[in-house]
Amino acid sequence: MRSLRLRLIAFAALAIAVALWAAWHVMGMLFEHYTERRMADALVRSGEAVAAAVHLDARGKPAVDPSNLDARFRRRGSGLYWEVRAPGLILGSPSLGGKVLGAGGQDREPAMASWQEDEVSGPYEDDLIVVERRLAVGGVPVTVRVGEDDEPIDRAGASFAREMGMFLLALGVALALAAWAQVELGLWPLRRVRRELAAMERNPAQRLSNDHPREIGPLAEAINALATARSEDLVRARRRAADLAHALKTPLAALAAQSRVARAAGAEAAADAIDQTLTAATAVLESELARARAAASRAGEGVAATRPAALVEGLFAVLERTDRGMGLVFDSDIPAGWEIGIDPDSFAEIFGNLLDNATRHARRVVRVGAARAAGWLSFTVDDDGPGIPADQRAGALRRGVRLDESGSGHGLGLSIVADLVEATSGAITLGDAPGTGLSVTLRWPDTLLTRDQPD
Amino acid sequence: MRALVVEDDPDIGGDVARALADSGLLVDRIVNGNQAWFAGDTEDYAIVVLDLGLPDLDGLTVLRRWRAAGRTMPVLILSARGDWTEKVEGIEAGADDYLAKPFQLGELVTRVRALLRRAGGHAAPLLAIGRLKVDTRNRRLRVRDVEVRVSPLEFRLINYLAHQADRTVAVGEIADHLYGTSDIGDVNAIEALIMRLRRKIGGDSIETRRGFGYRLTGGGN
Repeated sequence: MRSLRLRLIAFAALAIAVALWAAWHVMGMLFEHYTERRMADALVRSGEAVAAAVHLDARGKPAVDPSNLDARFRRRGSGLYWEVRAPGLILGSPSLGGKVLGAGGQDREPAMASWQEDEVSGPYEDDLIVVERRLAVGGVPVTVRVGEDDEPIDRAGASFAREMGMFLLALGVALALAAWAQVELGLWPLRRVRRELAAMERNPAQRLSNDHPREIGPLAEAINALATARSEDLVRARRRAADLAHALKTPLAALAAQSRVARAAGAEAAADAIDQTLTAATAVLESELARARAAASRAGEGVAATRPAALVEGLFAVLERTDRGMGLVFDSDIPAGWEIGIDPDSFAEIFGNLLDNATRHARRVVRVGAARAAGWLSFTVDDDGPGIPADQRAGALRRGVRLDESGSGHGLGLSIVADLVEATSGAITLGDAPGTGLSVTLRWPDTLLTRDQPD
Repeated sequence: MRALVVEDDPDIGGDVARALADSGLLVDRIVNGNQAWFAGDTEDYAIVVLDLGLPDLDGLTVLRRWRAAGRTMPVLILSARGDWTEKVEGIEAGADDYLAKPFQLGELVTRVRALLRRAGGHAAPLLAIGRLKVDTRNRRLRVRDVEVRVSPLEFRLINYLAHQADRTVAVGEIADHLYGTSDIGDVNAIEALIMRLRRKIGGDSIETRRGFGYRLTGGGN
């Protein structure tokens, strides 16, 4: 059984069942004992009455005067009997109907002074409880026995067992519910840990809160320490990769300068070879940087909330200064109060590349739209250019595929976007813009919306 | 016209300086941030090509200090990083254009020429309409003496409307001026452009005359 909850609840249920079963048994035994005691006491009183009614008749033989005795002694098979034995003589109550009470289990003679209790089989029923004692009536030794059917005791015992069973069953159910509630209550903080871990998965910069119960606190701290160490490692690795890539860019530019010198000196073939190598090296660098960035996004390095409206306006400002962008209208309707849990660098790369692409193809207008519906945040980047035919859209998102060979770039734009969107747990689809042009739709779960209020 | 090239790599710096000199500019070369800041602050340059990774003082800081001191010469940034966050930072610090390394020298020269062209011209430097002030020389717009960032296209529109002195200008005429043509798609683009401008300079600054066109009023004071 792998579930802690099931384990705890099953153990509690078992313990409760055993305890209640034992209680039911012991209480049944105690009840039987108590009722037998009560019946024996009542029999002793009847026995005293019978003993008092024993006298010697005119012939000097013991006789019983029934006038003051219980009426049940007179009714045949009533379940209450007396018997008086003297040497050579057995007297019985009319209820015996001429039969005698069976012998008891005890061999010894009953005591003189006190009543003794015994169980015998009855003349009409299975068991009788019998009390007996010896006494001397006018010098004649007499044994008085009074017996009563123990069936009412059995009946009461069964009824008690039934009712007590019902009660204990109800009690068991109540206790099991209480145990279940206790387990749930005890496991509640773990549920919070799970929730916080899920949030951490969405936003790796997040940490478990530090107000967990004392038993869970060390676990939360250990998880936090692990997450921090991991993200620090990733930051270091990513920085090294990025530094290396950046460090290589300036020598590459210098190499390009040398290629121009060579070309100016008439070494065309050498310059072409250098330029080809440079283009290849640059493409590799760009793709490595893009990959490092996507990995960093996944690790949540430097996650601070991004304000998409302001960031997109900043990108507009960059694009409005390019030759193509100078003649275009850039429009955005992202709510100004939105703040989302994607790091600004990734967000800038995603929208920078999409807007750059839109700028290269748009005729007049590039629009960014935003909406929140059905658990998703969706952003659209639309241009009014020629668009991409439906059968080429899937290819446009793959690494290294370029649809437009005329613009600058390394054919990585859309695949970088696709990588980054995937790394930030989003989705990207290409479609038709209203009228004409390409419409790129990006979706993220709206749990990433960390703030939605106007300032 | 004088140009300043700030670049610490001797190969790239020399290359850029030569190319600019070939296109008729008088070029100064500086390899260090502090000297660049001082030179740009005290001398008049028609254009600056500024590398971001500099010894002593990084390029962005140099640029911010120039802009804070009211230096308005066009600045083209060169950078090894070339990611979008840095581009946005560069433009927000006051750069006019941005080129990522490695770049084609031809592209650099084209961009420098475009910046010089944009910065030049316009005899009447300052137009005042309502609460708007249109600085046609530096292509800047102020609303109640606070500078508002507008795109080149937005500036061209407001500049055109400002020169029409209170006249209602038809959408077709605006499209013709901005794009040289006019079709239905242009009308939508111009509506979007006007909406964006209104958001930046106040809804009452541009009046819509239904069926006629738009008129720049500049709003009240």
